[in-house]
Amino acid sequence: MLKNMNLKQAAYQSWQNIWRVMPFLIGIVLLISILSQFFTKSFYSGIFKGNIFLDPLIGSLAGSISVGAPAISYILGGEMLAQGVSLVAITAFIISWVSVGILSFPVEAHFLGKKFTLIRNILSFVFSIIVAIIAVFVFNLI
Amino acid sequence: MKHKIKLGKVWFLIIVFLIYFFLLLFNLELFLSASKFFFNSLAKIIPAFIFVFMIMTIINYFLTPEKILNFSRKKGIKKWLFMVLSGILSTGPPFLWYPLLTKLKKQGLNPGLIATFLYSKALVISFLPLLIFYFSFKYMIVLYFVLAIAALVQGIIISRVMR
Repeated sequence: MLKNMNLKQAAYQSWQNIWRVMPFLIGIVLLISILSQFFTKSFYSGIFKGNIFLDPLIGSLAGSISVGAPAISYILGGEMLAQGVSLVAITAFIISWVSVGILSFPVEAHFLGKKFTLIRNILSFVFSIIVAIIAVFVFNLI
Repeated sequence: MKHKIKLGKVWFLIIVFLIYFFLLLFNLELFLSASKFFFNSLAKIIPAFIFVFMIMTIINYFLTPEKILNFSRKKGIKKWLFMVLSGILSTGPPFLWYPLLTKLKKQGLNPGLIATFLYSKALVISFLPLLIFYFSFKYMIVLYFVLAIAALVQGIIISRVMR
């Protein structure tokens, strides 16, 4: 009986998590739907030149200043991939989306301390680029 | 703060709906093509979200903050691996976990372990179906593997720096 109650609570919590994200997620997909009519492959190729180091740097910068559920970064990344943006840039983008929090810096610093937050965010930013390059290299290798 | 976030998200959606309303009035062609794109995207995403819900429920059922608290006190490599796993399995945005992590820190938990946990959250398993849907199963496996190693390395660096 207790287990069933817990499972119900777990399902309810999951539903709440998804429901909380939903307005933003639908809004983002709606916006992408409009923007995709304007942003062609040439637009993205103007920003991402195919440089193995510069592309993930731009991707990581974009991810660092973004907020929201990881699902949104996957959807955005998926659309960017369809438009021809390099996988290494998208990987850096989706990793830094969650791991680097420029906008959430004050909250993190309040709880975990300024020094810790600063070092963690700088390292996360650098790591998102390194991880992206290594992951895509291994992905292409196997 | 919770209400502000909720209201912010609803306002964002209302603004986007207004943009669509103006498109309907002034640019019917763009409205139709954008709507078609939206419904096509939604049809692709919904099945993935059913899996997301199922995985989230299983994780919420088995992984509780109390279990993380107990495991984080273990010795050796086990606690590092457990923090990587917890980060990947944990649901919700990082800020929801700050109070628990602060509590652990006050109890003497190595800051490196906290960093490992937070970095592992870069790939939450609950949204895994979406990741596979957009980038393939092979990509997901490679990314999880590289990311887990990176989370450990980052944790070790931070534990040395913060010492």
